[in-house]
Amino acid sequence: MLSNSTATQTVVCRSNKVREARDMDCNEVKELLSAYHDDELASDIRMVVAAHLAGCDVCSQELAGFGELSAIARSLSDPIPPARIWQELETQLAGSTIDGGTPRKSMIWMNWTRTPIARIAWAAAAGILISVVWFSLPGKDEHHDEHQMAAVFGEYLEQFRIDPNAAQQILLANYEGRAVGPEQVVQSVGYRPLVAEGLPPGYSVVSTHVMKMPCCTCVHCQCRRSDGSTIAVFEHDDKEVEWFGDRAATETVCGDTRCSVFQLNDRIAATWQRGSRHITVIGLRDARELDQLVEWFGGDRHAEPM
Amino acid sequence: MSRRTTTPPASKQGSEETCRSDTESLNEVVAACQHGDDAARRQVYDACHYSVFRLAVRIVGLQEADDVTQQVFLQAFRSIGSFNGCSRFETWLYRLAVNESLQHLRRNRRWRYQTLDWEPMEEPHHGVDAERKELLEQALARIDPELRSIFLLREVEKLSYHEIADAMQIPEGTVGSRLNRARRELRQRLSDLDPDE
Repeated sequence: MLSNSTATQTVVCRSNKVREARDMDCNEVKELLSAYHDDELASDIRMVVAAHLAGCDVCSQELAGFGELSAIARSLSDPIPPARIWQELETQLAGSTIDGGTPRKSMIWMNWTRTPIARIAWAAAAGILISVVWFSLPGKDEHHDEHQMAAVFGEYLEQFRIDPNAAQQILLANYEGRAVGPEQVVQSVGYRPLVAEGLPPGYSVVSTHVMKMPCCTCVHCQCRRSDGSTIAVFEHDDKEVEWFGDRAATETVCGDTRCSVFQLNDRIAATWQRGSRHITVIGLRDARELDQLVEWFGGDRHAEPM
Repeated sequence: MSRRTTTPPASKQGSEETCRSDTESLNEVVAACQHGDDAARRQVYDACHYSVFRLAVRIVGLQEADDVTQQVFLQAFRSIGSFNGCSRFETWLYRLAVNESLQHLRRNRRWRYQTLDWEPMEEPHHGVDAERKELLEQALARIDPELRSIFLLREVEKLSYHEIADAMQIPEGTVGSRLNRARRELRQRLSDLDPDE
């Protein structure tokens, strides 16, 4: 509900209904038009919008257009799911561990291999194997490093949306991650990490690790929002868009700071320069949260072109 | 799970198509499922698969919707123990469905560079509005997948703004503005597709 809109509060405090309607202009009404159409407005605001609509052909026509769309959408045909979806699902379920269920004895090994712990173990084993192969290869170059980091990071990003803690373990297992306090961070990387200076209200640091990545020694902080959800903050020496593999980067400006933004399903990641170092945040909800963190950490207004 | 008022064709009706609207009984089945009841798992699937498939078809396309639906339920059953009942089970499942569908598009590199190819349903639309329905399907396939998802959750699945926010994992205050964008883009696309409008 949008009952706390400042503009609306101003309007509803007045007693003259005609004047209320005039006080809400087309832009304000258009912003509320979907909520009006979907009956998601508080009754007082609804009345004000209705009064505006009664005297405004432009807004009324747009509302009518929304109504037509809804009518067509309601009448769309329902596609019929094929029966084989369940059949194939049943086959897959027979070989997997179900939360709350009892695994079949013959499937214990297979089930174990699909548990989160096993996945982390597999990821660690895969990381070790990749490392062994990597160091045994002659003529290795930066391209191989980037490829390997993109692979590990790809797995990390995939896991992050499901279980950020399990995702964190993938990185720690691959890059010799160790939990550290502020002083140990300084000893390891030569600077005091930005998160040690505090986070915006509503965020807290859960853990801080130092990781030895092929690109650099990186500080990784797992942070929690007040609603319990997680973001990850990395502080590192160089810009590391390679972490995101072949994901398309969108260049944007937050305040005066240039940021590279990556779409991660329903979340975003962003990286920007701050002084001589770079900040990368995983798990942002939207551009507004990105703006907030860029402002909080402080961007580099004099950063060289990215 | 379905909140639609339209009725599927009679020939396709059956027990599998029965979409439960009784939240309490669905919660009981989900609870049984959490305790490892295989029959309950099937009941959950029967209750919800139409809605998940319908959403998947319109986000990723008919050809890919089977795989996405299968993955959604696989993920749901594997993690059903983590469903804590704070939201409706249907909303939790919609969240998985939207996540999986958008992830599927991204994996297939159709996220930013390519609009979804419009694929007609198996059964063509009938009646005087047939053309308008087909145009809407085409317009839907041409807008941003996230806007498409939010529009479908509202207009087809009939979720409230609170439920949409939960399913899309976005602030409730942004649902209305994103729906505004979705509706305006759809109207523009419809206008482009049918200049006579």
